[in-house]
Amino acid sequence: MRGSWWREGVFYQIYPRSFQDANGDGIGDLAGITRRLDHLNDGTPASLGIDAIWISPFYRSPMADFGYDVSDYRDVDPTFGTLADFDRLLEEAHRRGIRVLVDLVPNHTSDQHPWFVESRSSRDNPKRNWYVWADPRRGGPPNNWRAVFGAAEKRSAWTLDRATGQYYLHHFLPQQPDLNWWNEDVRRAMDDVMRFWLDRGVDGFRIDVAHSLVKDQQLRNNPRLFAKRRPRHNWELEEVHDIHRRWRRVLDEYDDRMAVGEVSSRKLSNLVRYYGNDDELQMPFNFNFLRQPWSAERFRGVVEEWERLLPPHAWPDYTLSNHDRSRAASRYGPQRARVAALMLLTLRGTPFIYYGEEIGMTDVAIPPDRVPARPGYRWLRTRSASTSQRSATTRARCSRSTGGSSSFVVARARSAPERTAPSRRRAVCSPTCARATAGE
Amino acid sequence: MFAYLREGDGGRMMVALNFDDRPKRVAVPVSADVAISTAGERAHEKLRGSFELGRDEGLVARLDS
Repeated sequence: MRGSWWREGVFYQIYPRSFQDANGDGIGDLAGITRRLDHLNDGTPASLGIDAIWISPFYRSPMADFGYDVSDYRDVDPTFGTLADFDRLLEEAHRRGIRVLVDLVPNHTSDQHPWFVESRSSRDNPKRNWYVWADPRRGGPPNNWRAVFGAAEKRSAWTLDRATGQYYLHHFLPQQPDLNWWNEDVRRAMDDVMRFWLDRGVDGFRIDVAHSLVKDQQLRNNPRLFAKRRPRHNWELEEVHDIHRRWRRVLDEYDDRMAVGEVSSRKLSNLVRYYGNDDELQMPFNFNFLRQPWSAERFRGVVEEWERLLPPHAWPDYTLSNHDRSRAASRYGPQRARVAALMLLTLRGTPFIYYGEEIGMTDVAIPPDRVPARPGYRWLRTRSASTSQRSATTRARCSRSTGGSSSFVVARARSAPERTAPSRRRAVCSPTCARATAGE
Repeated sequence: MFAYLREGDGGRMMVALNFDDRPKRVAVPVSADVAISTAGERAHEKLRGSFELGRDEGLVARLDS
């Protein structure tokens, strides 16, 4: 059945920098991921039984924001390898029945992207209108929009380009100028980026900042009282849904591809709108579990509201950890993280596991410019993890020495998605040494 | 306590998750076989009538039809 793979599958997010280093430079890479695919799914119960991976950005990038500042959407950054390495990863993943999603970062590019280099070169450059440029207003930025990153007092979403005397818009770092999504040329260019990867054989995309993209064309100020909390004119405009319908049409040019979008909307009633009429995202991420305190009522509340709001065609999803938030094992502690993992893997809905969750990895103490939730994977030299060559992992450390268990475990449970034949789904539930098998 | 049933062609599975820091007594309407527990040692335990769920324990059991 079309679409069944992402409804029944277990997804696993890989942050390539921290997962597995293959060339010994201390930074994870694509060849490292390929080497560890058997850990994710080797077709036996000894592996995790992962059905799909989402790989965080590995494109060419000056790395001002760890790869979310892309300077070439169609090439691999040398840090992570080459396009040939990617093709090999894709082939090896598919050989094991693992689907592959790549990260699409369409809201902004790097300021080093040739599009922006051209755009900022002069006011009459043909690519000027690919980004959002505006004249100063009363000697300052064009409006009161705020960026997500940066110190509070410096959080204007605008940076002055002295050479041309205009400000450009960036909702993240100044090195990440926002594309102008009102421009049809920009839309077409991103369609082609998608086709580039779809033609290579990827199974879909995780879409970064999928609720922003389009900003008020008149650049109106956000209401002053709510400037911080209710950014009315620069996030979640109605027109963003046009973009999602467009992308769905691109995906549907191919066989059985999908997109899951990062939609940071706290209100589930808003989130469900990104399914459209089954003509937008296949799934917007439901991040609400990431924000819950350890309370049965709170988790149940999220599930019940989500199930109540979902239109009949829409399929739910859940996630407990990702690269932007504290890990579940750090938020709740190891024992409770196991309970949370069991919930994630047994609810009706696609589970997204963050690399290392299956061994109860926690956040690490890090310099202020790093993110605590992205430490190197703690590979163990157990039977299931050491089938490949000697592991030159990034900061590999046996979890035995950090108080964790010395082995991770795969247990099997049956899940029964409605409307489709029940598929066996392995519950990746650990760290513990027990193995349970259900329904064998 | 957060508990739910998953039903499909393969039968009925009960999921019981104890978020409390004390054990809970849980009633089961029919007998069931434990498939997995986060406490680790209960696989294949037979549940009848009621059973105890430890503090911060999650458990999946297959209900007998």
